[in-house]
Amino acid sequence: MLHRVIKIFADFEKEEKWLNEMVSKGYALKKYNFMSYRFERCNPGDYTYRIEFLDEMPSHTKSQEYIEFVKDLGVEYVDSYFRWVYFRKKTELGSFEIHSDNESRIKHYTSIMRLQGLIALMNLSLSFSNISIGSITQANQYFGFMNLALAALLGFYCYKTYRKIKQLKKQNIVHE
Amino acid sequence: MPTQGGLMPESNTRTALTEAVYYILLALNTPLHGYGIMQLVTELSHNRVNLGSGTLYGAINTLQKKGWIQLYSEVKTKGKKEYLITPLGTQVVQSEIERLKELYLCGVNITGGDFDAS
Repeated sequence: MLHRVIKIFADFEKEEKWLNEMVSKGYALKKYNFMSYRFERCNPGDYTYRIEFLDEMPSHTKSQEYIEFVKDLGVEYVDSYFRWVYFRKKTELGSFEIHSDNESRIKHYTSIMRLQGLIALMNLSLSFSNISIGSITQANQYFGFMNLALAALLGFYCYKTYRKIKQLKKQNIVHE
Repeated sequence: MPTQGGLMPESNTRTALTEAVYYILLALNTPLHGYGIMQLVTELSHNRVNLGSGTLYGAINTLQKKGWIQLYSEVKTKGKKEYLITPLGTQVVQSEIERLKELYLCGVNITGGDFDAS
């Protein structure tokens, strides 16, 4: 019997932190679908979870090759959604990080920033078209404002990711 | 997904290697697959350098493209690949050791101490 939690995150690092907190309470993520997390029971602290945003869809050969490589490192592939992948590793097998240097962290954040920016722009243009035809139907006006709110939210997260990249680049001047 | 990382500047000559690349090249003096590289690097660095899965994957691809390492064997059924350093890779490591020697000696000469000895 899987324990189900409905939740939404806009920041994958917060999501990752939450998943690891769930592990410490004895719940290990087994399946993910949009906003729906299904957990199985585990011993508290059994796993370290990591979330990664891939360059391609998980079914793409490039992604498949990468996922196989990661599996060979003693890591389990848990689930994926869109280009997001959930990995976990038994804590007894040692530490588990996806990125151990700034350059690959910057690269990862950059593709996430592009996604956030793209969704923000899509919502922005949808909000314009919805609001402009909003005089005809009430529903369009409503959707228009929802699009606008989403655009603002994603724009904010895009900016936050941008700040993280800038911070890492600054560090790069002094450290590797 | 880190297909090829910006793990090092594009130029092939006379720039510092990242720690990850340096240790991967050292580890590949014997043929190893990803997991083997990861473990050996952790061991060589006394648990200081723990390669991330994405970082390691990106580095392997980049080093292969540069011709510093090569595919040594591949288990067709599982796709498990072993890699080995190339003569070019060995040259790169040697010149890096020269560079590190210079850094080390300058440091010791100017600060006047070999802190390792204490």
